[in-house]
Amino acid sequence: MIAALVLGLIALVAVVGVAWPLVRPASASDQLDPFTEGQRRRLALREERDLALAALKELEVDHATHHIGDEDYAELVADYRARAAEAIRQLDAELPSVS
Amino acid sequence: MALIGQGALILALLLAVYAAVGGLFAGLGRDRRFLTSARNALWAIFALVVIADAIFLYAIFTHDFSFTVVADTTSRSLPVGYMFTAWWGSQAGSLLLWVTILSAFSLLALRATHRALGELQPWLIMILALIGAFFLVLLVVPASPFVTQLAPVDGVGLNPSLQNPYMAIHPPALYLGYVGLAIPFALAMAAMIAGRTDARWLVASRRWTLAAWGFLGIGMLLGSHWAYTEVGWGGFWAWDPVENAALMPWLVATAFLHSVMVQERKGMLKVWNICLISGAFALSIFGTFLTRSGILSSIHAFVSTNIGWYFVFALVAIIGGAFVLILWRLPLLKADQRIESLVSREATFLFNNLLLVGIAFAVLWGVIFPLVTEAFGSVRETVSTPFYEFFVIVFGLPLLLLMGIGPLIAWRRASLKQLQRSFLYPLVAGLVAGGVMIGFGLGSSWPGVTALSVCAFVTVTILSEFVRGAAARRSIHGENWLLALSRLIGRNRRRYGGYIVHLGVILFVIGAVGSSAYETQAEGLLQPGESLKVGSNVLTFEGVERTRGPNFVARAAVLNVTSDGSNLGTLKPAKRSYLREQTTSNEVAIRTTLTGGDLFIILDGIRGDGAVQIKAFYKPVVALLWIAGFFFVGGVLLCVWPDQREARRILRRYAEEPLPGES
Repeated sequence: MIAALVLGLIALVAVVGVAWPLVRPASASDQLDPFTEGQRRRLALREERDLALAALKELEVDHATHHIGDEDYAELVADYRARAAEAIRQLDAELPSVS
Repeated sequence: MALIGQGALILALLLAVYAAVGGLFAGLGRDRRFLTSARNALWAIFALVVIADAIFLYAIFTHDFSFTVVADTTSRSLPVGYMFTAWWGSQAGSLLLWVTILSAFSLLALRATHRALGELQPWLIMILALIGAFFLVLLVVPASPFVTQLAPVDGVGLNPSLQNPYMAIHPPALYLGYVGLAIPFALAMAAMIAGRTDARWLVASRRWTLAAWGFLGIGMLLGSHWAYTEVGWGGFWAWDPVENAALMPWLVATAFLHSVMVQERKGMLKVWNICLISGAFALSIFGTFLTRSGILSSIHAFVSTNIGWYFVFALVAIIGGAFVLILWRLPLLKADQRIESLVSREATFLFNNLLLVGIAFAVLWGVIFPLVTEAFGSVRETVSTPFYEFFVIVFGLPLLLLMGIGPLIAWRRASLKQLQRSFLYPLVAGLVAGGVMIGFGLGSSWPGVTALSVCAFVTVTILSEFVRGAAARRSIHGENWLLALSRLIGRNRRRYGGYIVHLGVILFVIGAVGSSAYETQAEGLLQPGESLKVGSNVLTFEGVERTRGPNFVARAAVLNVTSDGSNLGTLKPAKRSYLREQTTSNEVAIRTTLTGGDLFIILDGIRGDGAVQIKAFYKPVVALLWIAGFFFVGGVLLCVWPDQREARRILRRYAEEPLPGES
């Protein structure tokens, strides 16, 4: 009998905790914003930019530790800089989402 | 009490189903109320599972043998220290531990990702709740820890093999690893459902994978040490299916931890990474299934045990679900770049992945081979150690070599001139090491000479990485060597933590190869006063000594050890008879020398006339196996430790545009 009462009490607390967000008055902030195509595209561009910047940093370390020669370094740096610049240019061309 | 425990588990199961549905509604309807409600359900599940744990442990510690599981795994004479071990000594108890860890990890994962991965939260809750529901179904229906009976006067007791300090840590460590892999898997699935296939899920899952991988590695190492000191057959790894069960997900997770770097740096291997993390989690479920279904003893046990089909269902759901999601999101998973040269770091990572997955598949085939032969024929056939060793040598040696080659090659491509400069010293070190070994008469084992030469090659490449990095900092920042080295490691924790783990792997390989390829052994029946020689050690049998422990009696052979005329003391290998459990166990005697070798003695038998059968080994450099563990733990901690600079960079990157759930 006591076990059943304890169990019932535990169940009641759990159900109230779970149900409360659904039964409380609704508000405007209850809507989770959708993830738009624009946001997806901008995120991809940021990723491209960050990948290129990370690669540049990695190249610096590889060059400083003599894992890569001067000629290769110059060529690869130019390539990654161009990629980062292109991503930044496209990001700037997009409508800024936050001012 | 049992009623409350069982009720708590049933309620937790209902809430897990609700949380999965709530997560689905929150994801589809973009409704924050369902998200909060489902999250609260996960909190409630955690609380209910803790209640069930408390009742179960209370029953164990108060010797409440009306709980069938408690009566089957403990006794009144069981030392208190091993009461906790009894928690995971049974099927039901270990599954309860699984759910406990999973519910705690689920809350931690939600907390850790609620800002940066807000949009993934509904789907993350759904996946984690479904995994939790699966294990709760097992606990409620076929494997309840709260089944009761008419209480016997005493319990059966705990298997003596489990009455070892390592068994108090080894299974929980493995479970932390198995369960930990659920989080990166759930993150990957959530990312695909949400269409968020960018690198964010990868960044969020990296530490979870590393931690789970670290726990699996530590668990296996502790298990090896337990097998070495407790099982008493003279080795540390027997390719037992239970050992293999942990090795397979560890190998696949190792591949993931390497290939994830390629996706982060180059935007490649996106589908491969999702396959790897799904495979690692599926193998962790398969590992739990192997150890818990009873299928290992016979395929017929699969029919007689009642949890086998549940696991088959779970495996099909995991693999099938991941496959469908990958197909659905394939257009979003295209590689941003391609591999430009086969001589590049990304290419070495790819080769490393293929070799690791190759070993994992070979081990998997070895594990399931008896089941396949029994299912499709009348005779059950098994594969033995040579099968596994063949693949470990064929795939493992190139893998070891890649460990040394990878760090020396730049991303994207490497020139011949650069390769010559980078590989000169490591190659010389490898060749010199091989020559020295042959010169000292150690050329009897060609895999041994090859492996140890490759170890020398890799060690020099790793150490040269530290030296080059510190030298570069010295020349750029004008720092002294110590400061340059500490800042180099501190600011590139992942890279240098990885190198420290690699050094641990090298030590492990040296220990494993050295102790097996160059081991000496001797065996003999000794009367008091007689001697046995193994290596340079002479063992003189002095007599049998009887002792009594809390729940056992022991008989030990007292052996005086001398080497080159000097007395090294006595060793006492023993046999213990556990009174309540009605079983005996071997207690090996081990003496570790300053050079890292072990004198390892097994008492094989005691005759009525007082003679003893002794088996003795001398295992050189075996201590390196255990020292490797410290390097492994240190390296993993360095990698997992929060990097504030990296966290700031990621936050800055995503703060540029507030995303759903973060505003």
